[in-house]
Amino acid sequence: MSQNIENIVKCRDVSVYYGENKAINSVSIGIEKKSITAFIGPSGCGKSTFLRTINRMNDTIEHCKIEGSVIVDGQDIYDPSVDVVPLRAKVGMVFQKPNPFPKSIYENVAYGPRIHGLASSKSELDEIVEKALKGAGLWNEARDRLNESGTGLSGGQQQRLCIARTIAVEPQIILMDEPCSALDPIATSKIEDLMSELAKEYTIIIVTHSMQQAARVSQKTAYFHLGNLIEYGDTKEIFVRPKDSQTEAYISGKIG
Amino acid sequence: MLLTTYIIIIITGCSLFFIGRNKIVSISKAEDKRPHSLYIYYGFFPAILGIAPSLVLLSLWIGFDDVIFNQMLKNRFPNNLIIDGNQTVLILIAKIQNIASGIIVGKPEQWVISLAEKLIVWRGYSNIMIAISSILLSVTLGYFSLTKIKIEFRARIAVEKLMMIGLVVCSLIAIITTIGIVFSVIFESLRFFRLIPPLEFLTGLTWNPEFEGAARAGSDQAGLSSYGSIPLFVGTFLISIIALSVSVPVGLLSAIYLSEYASKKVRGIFKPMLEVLAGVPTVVYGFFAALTIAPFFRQTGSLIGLDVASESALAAGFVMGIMIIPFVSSLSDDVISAVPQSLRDAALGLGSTKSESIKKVVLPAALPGIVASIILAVSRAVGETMIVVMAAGLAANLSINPLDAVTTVTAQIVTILVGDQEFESAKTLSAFALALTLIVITLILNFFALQIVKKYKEQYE
Amino acid sequence: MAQTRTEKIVIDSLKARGKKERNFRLFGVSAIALAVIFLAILLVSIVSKGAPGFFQYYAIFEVELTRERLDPRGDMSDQSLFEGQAKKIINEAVLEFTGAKNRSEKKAARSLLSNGSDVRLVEFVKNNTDKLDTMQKIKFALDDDADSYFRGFIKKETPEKQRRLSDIEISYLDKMKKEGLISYEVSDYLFFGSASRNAEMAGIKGAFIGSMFTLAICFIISFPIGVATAVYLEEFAPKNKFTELIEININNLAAVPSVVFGILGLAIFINLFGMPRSIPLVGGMVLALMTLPTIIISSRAAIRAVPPSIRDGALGIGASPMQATFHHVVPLAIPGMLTGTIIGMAQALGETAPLLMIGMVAFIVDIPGSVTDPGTVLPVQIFMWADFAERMFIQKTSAAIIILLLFLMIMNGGAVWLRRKLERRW
Repeated sequence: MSQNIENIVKCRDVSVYYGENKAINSVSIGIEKKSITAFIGPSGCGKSTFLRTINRMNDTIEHCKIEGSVIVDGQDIYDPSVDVVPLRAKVGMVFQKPNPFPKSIYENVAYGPRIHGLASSKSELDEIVEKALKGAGLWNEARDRLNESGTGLSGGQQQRLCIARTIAVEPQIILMDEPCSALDPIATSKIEDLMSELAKEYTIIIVTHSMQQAARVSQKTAYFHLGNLIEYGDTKEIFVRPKDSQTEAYISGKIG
Repeated sequence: MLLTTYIIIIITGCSLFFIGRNKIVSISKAEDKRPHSLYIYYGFFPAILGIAPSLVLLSLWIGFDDVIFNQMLKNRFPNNLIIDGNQTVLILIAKIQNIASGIIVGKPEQWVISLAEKLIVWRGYSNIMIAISSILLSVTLGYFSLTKIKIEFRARIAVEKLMMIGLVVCSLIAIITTIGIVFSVIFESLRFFRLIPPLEFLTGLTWNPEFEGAARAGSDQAGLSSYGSIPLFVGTFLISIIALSVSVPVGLLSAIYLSEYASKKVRGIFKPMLEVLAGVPTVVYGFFAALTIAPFFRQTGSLIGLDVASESALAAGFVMGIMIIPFVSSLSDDVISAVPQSLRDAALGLGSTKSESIKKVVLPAALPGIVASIILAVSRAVGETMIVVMAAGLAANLSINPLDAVTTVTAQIVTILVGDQEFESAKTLSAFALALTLIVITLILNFFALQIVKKYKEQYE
Repeated sequence: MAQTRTEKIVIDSLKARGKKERNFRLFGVSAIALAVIFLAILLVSIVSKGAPGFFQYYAIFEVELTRERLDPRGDMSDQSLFEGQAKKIINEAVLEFTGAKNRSEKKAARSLLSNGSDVRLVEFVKNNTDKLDTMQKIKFALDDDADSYFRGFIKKETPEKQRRLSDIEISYLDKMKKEGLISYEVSDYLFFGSASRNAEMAGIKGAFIGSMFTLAICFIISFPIGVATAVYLEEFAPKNKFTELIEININNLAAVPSVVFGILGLAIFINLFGMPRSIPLVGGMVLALMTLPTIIISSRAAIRAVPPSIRDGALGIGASPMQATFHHVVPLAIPGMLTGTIIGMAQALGETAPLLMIGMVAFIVDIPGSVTDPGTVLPVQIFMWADFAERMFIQKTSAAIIILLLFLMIMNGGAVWLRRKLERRW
């Protein structure tokens, strides 16, 4: 494992069970602050499941059990005293399929700040919304149609709206679960540019099935296979000189 | 007689089956060729043709012979007969029919007896005629279909065509029923509106169909009783509102809890329990309302100094509300469950509490469906009959005080139409006018609800 | 681990939001609790009222079954037994026991046993011809007021003017009790009696048989038509205006209040076709039209649940569409269709309003022997009894309700069982 200055997320021996099935097998990993980390691997390898343990989105699934410790920003998030609400405000998530609320663009972005009470006035809320939309690179397209429904946007715009919705809460970490898998190449490249931009302020963890995407955007890459973390290191290293034969096989297209 | 005819037709059909089948077997042997279809189809073809049309003819005849006889009887009534309150055409016909079936009450007039004797004779002729003609039809069609049987006759296709006709006819029953409902209601309603102007019916403030006296069709004394339906609609409205204020909060919150919070196990226990409420017959609810809830409200009312009528809108509405809970909860549950998980994930992923995600994301998304479920609940409440008949009373008070006794459209329909009635009187006919408005209201509600659900479904498909 | 602004605000807001969350959850739980409590109150109130309705008080009297008095013609025919002096024999036994002397005392003594006691005696004689000319102890039902006295609804403490039993009557009843003549047993009248104005003699047999006839007619009509309609609409109907019209019709019929079907029956079957009132045949036809939409809708769902691959498989080996449907699709869909049909039948069994319109509310003592005999059905019987003020009728009504609910439970349970048992998962 590479040495790093500050790991904002530290996982030790994390295993995840769905009922009887073990989906993640004793994974330990540290995630660097303000960088982009990519989780890659064949479908069904558990990378999405693992991503969802970082902000406890797995809680919504019945019969899902987690062992080991996940420490985010110095706090064990599976400690019984932890409230998921501030955790998820701190660790935001962008999903595979764009899922804007069936409300206006403005209301979509304002939702997070509203429920958390981040804005004390209407003008402050306007500011947050504007900032978030700008941060997600959607402001120019959306400024004149803030009151139109978020579901009326194109797929790429919807996903950027979801990103804006996430950053409006000002999280520290953003989890992205294959955010481009439902998008066309042009929309994908826009999101990828946006990610690099966001990495200046946020820690980003992205799950992707596209190795090229991982190579393009991430600094670190973790390769998962059948619930195991096979290899983790600098993206360049992994793609050029994989240490593990399974990783090499996947990268060169033999499995997947 | 008729039963024998039925049996003869069925026996004819069965024999046609075997004759047809044997015929094709022997033809096929003689010509040493395989027929187009399986052997049994050559049996089914004549059997179906032999049975189905004559059974239809028989049943129609039985249904309609009285219609014709009644007309014939009417034409033979003495010219000097006075048709008034005590002697309407229908009563006279019923009298004649009774005498014909051997029930003689009192001393009927001579002409009535002679008509009854005529009726017996007609019935006899009619039965013989129908027996002969339906058996004849069966045999003719059977013979005709047997002549069609040849080696190249495509029996399966013919049989399937006949079956298809059967299927289409069955699916027409739904339409025929609707037509039946519409016609039975509209004709009588029109007759009612000839006696009572529609405006008076729709805007009148007093409903008092009782004092009929001599107010009959054709006479001009219909003014004695009044047919203003406003009190009935106000009563219906009042009871529905009470019912909804019980069922909507309880049903909706239960649905939310069961679909969003409850574990599979809890859901598996309580969902069926709620549905039990929908399976209890309405007459049981009526009994419960009249014997348990109404006295309870009355006593509680007197404790705190309120005068609650022994048959109050509150008791009927409250119990109706309990009955409607599962209608609200199960449809709301469906629409809430249909909200995509991704929306919940998005809200939770931003750090919403569960209740925030439900209140701000799930419920707004499910709103159209919830509205539809409430509309359907309204339509249920408006159409509910037994609870109001047994617990709300029959006094047509124009009141919006839930502690008063009120009456509803359905309760009036039942009271007017139960027992013997004369189809000439405005009182009887008024029930049909009420039914017409009831149908129109429920169909409009149903239409809107279905429209909303359809739109809602499209949104998430 | 510096706290960002967001973190600080979020953590500060937690307390209030947690409270809201708990409150919301509490609302949900209390809504369900309320619904369950309503259900519990409903069932408890009916069961507690109805359980005593399954029992009633009887008095055992020894009577002499003199042949000449009971069977004056000596041929044991109904006519002869009817002309006999059964009533007188019973009254003599009661009078002897009570020792009633004057007119009013005699009247009081005679009123204690049920009006139907002579019928009971005659029945006994009919079934036990060998016991004629002997003394026999026979159980007679008490009159409903006497019954109410033993149940404690009529109290001795109440002033005589205000109760339905006189002091003499009460003293006779006390005497019977003291001498061990009174027994509290399962009411045979409830199960084998028919409609009666006398509460102690009222039973559900007639209504029950009427319900069975009505339900049978309803099933015979609605099941084949419902299934045929579903098959046509799902498998063969072209998508056009006409089939759309049929579908709209079915949906609308499902929404029409049941009382309207009663009006249809009254106006079309009885008034236009001249069918008799009060007969299970007409009742069944009306209920069939009412349950048709339920059956069609559930049958269509059952057909739709059969995967197209099965149909395609049959068509692929050269079956005609009709053969594929009736040999493969329909047999697989039958469990689902039956489930829907049972639920529809359960609805029909509990339905009251439309049957009131077609005259099934008439007071009919005879037990119907066929679908064209006048009769009534269980829910209507309950409705009629609910109108009577006698205490005992309330109990009998509740008992009848319990029986009706039991049948509904069995039917619905059967539907659930059938669904679980025969359901296939593809």
